[in-house]
Amino acid sequence: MRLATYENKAEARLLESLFVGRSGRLENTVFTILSSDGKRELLHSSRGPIMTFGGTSPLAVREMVDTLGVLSLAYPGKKDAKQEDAGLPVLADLRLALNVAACDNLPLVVIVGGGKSKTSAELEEDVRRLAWSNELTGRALYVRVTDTKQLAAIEAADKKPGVLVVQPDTFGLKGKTLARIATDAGVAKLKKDLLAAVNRFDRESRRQFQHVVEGRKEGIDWKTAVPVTDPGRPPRRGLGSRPAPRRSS
Amino acid sequence: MNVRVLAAVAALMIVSTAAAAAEPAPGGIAWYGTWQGGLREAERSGKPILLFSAAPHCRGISGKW
Repeated sequence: MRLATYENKAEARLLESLFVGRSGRLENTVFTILSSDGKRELLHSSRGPIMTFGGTSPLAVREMVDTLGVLSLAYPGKKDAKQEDAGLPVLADLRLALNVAACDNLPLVVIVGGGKSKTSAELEEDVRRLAWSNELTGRALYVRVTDTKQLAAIEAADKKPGVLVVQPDTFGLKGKTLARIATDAGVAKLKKDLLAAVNRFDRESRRQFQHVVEGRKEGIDWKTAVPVTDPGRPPRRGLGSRPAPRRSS
Repeated sequence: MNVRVLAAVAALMIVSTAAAAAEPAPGGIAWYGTWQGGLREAERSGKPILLFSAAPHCRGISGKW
């Protein structure tokens, strides 16, 4: 799973229990591997794979590969759990989803709930099955919307129940509708229209520095759910620069 | 990233793209975006959770990790 740091209080507490840096506070990134019940760390938590495995040298990469290999053998999963039954990987809400879609440079599939011809659950089930198809896996992000007022952020969004495929803007604050698929579309049409829209998605190319400069010019100021506590620079070494206690494995 | 790394990550990820031992999907990784959603899937599949968290903004500017 990939969480958005500082966007949910409960998740921030969980992340803080896994790893804090020398600042003693939750920092921008956290990386770990947990047991399937989420209760045990199977890997030393850190800011990222480079920290966990000691760099990017061939030796470090080898260690990562070997470690992942050992874990995959030790924890193969349930034999009767089928991949095609995996849940839909949704994001928490539309506001965050637009931002994450911009970060990932991917289209956003918005499931607008309600309707008479098909229930929200049935519509979502159709999308779920397609999300895990070979053609679509990893090529879009997903979010469900029940409060249609949120759709104000999407240009030309139809508030009727259905599926929207959205192109986020550069800063992930608004979106443009690439396709709208009605609730009574069968799975075949849903797949065809989803694929067509995903293939129409326009991938931006912008360097980090340029993005920040442009964002500052436009007055962009993303508000997080919890305060950002990453110091933004490595802490000074010496007395007092020790991390907070970590939860035991 | 070398092929062995990709193979190891694909085997471990709870959102594996190797659905029926078929060819890998052309897309990227399909991440679960919430703790509850990811945990639910991990408990269903019995597979470990590879957790990565990052801030979806750079110095307050959204749209870049």
